[in-house]
Amino acid sequence: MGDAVKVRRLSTDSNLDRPMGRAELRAESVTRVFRSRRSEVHALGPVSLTIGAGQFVSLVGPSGCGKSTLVKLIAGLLTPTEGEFTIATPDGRPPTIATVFQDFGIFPWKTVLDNVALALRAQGVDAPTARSRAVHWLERMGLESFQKAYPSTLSGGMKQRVAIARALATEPDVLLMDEPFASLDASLRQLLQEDLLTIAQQDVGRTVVFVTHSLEEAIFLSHRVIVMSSRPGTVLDDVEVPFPRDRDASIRESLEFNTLRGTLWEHLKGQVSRPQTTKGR
Amino acid sequence: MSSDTTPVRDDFVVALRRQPARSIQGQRVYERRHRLINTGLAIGVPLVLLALWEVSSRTGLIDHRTFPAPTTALGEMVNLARDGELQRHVWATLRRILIGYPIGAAVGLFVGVVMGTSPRIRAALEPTLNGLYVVPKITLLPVFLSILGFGEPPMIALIAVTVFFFVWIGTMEAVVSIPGGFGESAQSLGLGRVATLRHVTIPAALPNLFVSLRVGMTIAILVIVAAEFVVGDSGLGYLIFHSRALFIYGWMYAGILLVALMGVILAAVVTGLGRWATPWMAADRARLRGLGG
Repeated sequence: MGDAVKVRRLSTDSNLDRPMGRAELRAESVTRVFRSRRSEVHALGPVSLTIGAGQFVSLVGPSGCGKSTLVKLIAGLLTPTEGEFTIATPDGRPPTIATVFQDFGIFPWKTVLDNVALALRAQGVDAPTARSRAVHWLERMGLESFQKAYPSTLSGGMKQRVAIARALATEPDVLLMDEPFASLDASLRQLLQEDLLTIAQQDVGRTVVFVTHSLEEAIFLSHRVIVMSSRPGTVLDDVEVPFPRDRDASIRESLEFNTLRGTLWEHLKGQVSRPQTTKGR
Repeated sequence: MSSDTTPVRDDFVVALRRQPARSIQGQRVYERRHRLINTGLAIGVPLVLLALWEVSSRTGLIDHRTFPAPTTALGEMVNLARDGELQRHVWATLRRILIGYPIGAAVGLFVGVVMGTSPRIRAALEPTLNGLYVVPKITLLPVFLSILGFGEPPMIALIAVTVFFFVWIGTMEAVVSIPGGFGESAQSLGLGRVATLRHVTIPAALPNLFVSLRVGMTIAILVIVAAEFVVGDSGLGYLIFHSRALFIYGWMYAGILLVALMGVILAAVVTGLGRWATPWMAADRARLRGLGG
């Protein structure tokens, strides 16, 4: 299958008229410091990196390494303390950005359908169109029979599916995912990873930044894995994943996969054990 | 039965057994009986207390002038209702609440949401309002009497102000305590100020907001009855206070009973509205009921 065919699959959106790759992200010596009255936490940087248009990039690193801070910077929820963050598009129009959060992402007071439709309504889509597009994405995430359910009645995995459906329904140029599967059990996590991989392969134009603790998850899903150091987070390692775009679950079993995981783990290990050296194994 | 669970090792003997307490059929019977007993107790206890009162009063065990038998009180209440006097008092109190409460609640909601969402306005107004909040509202009655004269306006103002403070502080805290993640989520969806208020802030605050609306209702009744003790010539407070002065204790108890009844009904109305307005909480409520028994 050629890439061009896949792009046309979701052809109702004007964004998709553009050629492959719709937004390039670039951080130039970005740092972020959180100041409170009593303390100052240097959370991130300096970080300089470019995430190419249409790339699926994973950020891995120990807890508190500023991965989420970086995602919030891209999402526009935070501003950098120093440096500059830019997003470039082919025609200079601001890109659409959607974020999947670990929790608090979907609203408990709205039904599954209303949660997804709200994202579209916020972008100015009229109510009937928003509804039908929401239904379409809920169907794709296997949630068609839960449209009228409230999130509190769903399992953790289903809630995350709703969050993903909501993010994808807006067909964003940039998709940010901040540990979206962290609270799920192992088998559900694997299932959603495979779903996400399938969807990511269908829309190759989208730039995706995926934050995770899991090296397997990062290698399995992305074109490129960025390993970050412990606080203040900087880029420790930046690795191209040697698998093609059209991959499937079987790569998990391959020797290359495990070798790469081993290499990355060697780099990450030092970072994880540094704060508590006595416990390091 | 125990033969199936003989230990594999023949030098071991069964030391503990965990067996069903009762059969599944028996469990169902047990649960039904359990519910029946609880309902019976809920109704039975007050009935027994009333019966004890009735008997003690009639046998002279307690003074029948200060503690008239419930049936006597009921008779006097019916008499009072016959010439429409009882209805006049009930309506007077109810009317004051029905006008004063919505005014206080609406202003409280508005100020609470504004202060909850704007740290600047909160900084400006919170110390002043907190200072006023601790003033027992009933002490404002003389102030309102001097400003608004006698009659209905000071009574309604008193209720409105009382309700305002409870709803204001409850709403503000409900808005301030919304997890920041919801705000980030709204921002990342690109919701504007008004849309965020409508789709995120207000629904997120609603469950806690209804708690303060209900407390506000209870306090409103308390305050209006106390005000009626001292001002005017109508209302259940007036009835209770002045029947004591006239030594018609039956009316006094009838008044107390009606205040209690009004409180229960009005609080239930607010609770019902709250349930209607927060359908997503239905699952949580069911869980809580399950825990309760």
